[in-house]
Amino acid sequence: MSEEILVKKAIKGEQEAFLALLHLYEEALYRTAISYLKNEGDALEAVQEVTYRAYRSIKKVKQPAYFKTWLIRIMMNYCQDVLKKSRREVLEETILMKQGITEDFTFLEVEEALLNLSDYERELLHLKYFEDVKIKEIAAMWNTPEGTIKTRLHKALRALRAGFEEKGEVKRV
Amino acid sequence: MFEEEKRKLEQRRKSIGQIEVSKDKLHSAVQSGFEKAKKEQLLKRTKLLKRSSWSIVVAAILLVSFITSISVSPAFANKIASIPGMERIVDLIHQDRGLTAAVENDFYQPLNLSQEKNGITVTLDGVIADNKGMVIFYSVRTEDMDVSSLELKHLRLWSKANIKYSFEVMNSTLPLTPNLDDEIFSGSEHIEKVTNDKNLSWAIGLKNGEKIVTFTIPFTYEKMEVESKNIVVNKEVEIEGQHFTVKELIVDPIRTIVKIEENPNNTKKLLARPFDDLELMDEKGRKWSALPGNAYKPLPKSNIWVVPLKESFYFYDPKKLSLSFGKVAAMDKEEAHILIDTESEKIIDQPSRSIFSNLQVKDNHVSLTVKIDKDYDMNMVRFIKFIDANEKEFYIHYGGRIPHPYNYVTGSITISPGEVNIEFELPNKALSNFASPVRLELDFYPSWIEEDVKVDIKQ
Repeated sequence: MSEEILVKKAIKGEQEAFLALLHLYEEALYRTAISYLKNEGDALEAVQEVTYRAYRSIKKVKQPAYFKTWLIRIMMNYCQDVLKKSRREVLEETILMKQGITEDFTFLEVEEALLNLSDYERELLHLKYFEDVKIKEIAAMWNTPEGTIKTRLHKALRALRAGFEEKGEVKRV
Repeated sequence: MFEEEKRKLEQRRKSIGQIEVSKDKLHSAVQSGFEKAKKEQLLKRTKLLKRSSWSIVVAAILLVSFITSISVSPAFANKIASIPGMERIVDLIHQDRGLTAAVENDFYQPLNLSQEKNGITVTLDGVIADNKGMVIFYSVRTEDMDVSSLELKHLRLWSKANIKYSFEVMNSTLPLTPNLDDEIFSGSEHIEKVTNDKNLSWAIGLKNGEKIVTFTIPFTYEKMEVESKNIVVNKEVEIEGQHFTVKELIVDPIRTIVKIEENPNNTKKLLARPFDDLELMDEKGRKWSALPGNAYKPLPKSNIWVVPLKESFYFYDPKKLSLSFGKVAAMDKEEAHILIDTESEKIIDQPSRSIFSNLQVKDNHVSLTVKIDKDYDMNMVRFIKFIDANEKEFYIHYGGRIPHPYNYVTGSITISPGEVNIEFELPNKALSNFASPVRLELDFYPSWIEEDVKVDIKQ
């Protein structure tokens, strides 16, 4: 069964179709969550919560073709909320460290620069450069001309570059 | 254009793509999210009130260290004069004898690393670090604006891509108040546990009008090459028939902790903030007291409590030390719970001195009032979880980070003077086999034990 048919059935309220779709995209959701939250436990909870939220608002899906992007956006919104709400605490070694993935590559620069972007800019960069969503699709989802999206994407990249450059200014006094 | 940025984003995507995923765990996360949504479809949800006072408590902790006056010993004066900006550091720590002694013993490492953005300069002044923790000193200067027009939003310590420590100011505001008479804001942050990584980054987020400006300062440092001066005690003490063992003191330059074991056969249960009155006194009458509200059990199921002291006596080498407990928050184990019948809306069992009333169950929402005398710290009033008739546990989630177990329900706490209203949701019977009555363990209650006993730590 094609994805689009599944989405249409899910919108009509067919629970099996909804579950099939979520299982199809659970890994993509998880990786988005990891990119924001950095540890397994939080990312799994995020997947749980996003499933819950998606089910509750499945009727609001307007473009079945963009269902995956719709899910990813719920996930990004959720993660941004969690990051804002997270309180004083010492975090455990993150999953990237545990699995030895960041040993040879320092993430810090990109991560801190991403934290400095607005939610919107970060969302845009994530959709384009993490999920490979086409500008055409982003434009359709936000009901915004493609040219405008391109301009904003450039602005977001410029903000990211500014984040890198600012880091270079650290000096001894 | 932006090839470098795109390359870095791509590299990041690949790294995250390499992370292994447990298919089973993912599958069940989707499943339980789905079940939660389905059962809620059956319920009519009423909006629960959110709690926001916690953030103010967090904010208050940071303000404690801002001081206005300064007193210096003559021997100390030279040291201060020799390091630029040292007066501000001394000003920050002069109420902490342990940190002052660490500075006197040359354990302060000046770093003086600065970053400037839009007329705001943040300086990582220096650190004091022992084998366990670290105290970070930083300052903020402004050119064309008043430093107090800025607000602190977050402080973070990074090791590579990982946040090792994070302090976030939530809904409240925390304006930067300049210390002394100058226009510089100085602050310090005590981090209990730091990794062995010597390459760290200190980040601070400041709110300037509507914008949040983040400063990130990479630095390296040395840990003090000193041994801990631990004192093994292993002495038993009895307070109103309850037995405790003072196990040992872990004494490091910037922190001293006392380890206390409670006897599992005790008839009383320790409540939240049990050892806030704990105090040590040496042969000269010098006192070191517990850091209130910071005692905790490193392993929830063990009987060992860790009680950090406000100041470390590492450099004081007391010849004799005796420990007194003061009031210890504890209540009878048999009474330390309440039992609620959610069907008849009755409190079946509660401590003999009743503080719980006004039980209501509507549309699967439980509401309960707690009344305690005005002197009690109402921030302690909360239930973490409950157990149903089948011994199944459900955690109560009051907002903020979602608890790790999936079996949680939503709750809320509303605090007013002398009275707290607790509300929480019941699990749906059809889906979770939930059965009344509900048992809630008490971690707060206006009950203490007290006896004038002293434990000689060092003789």
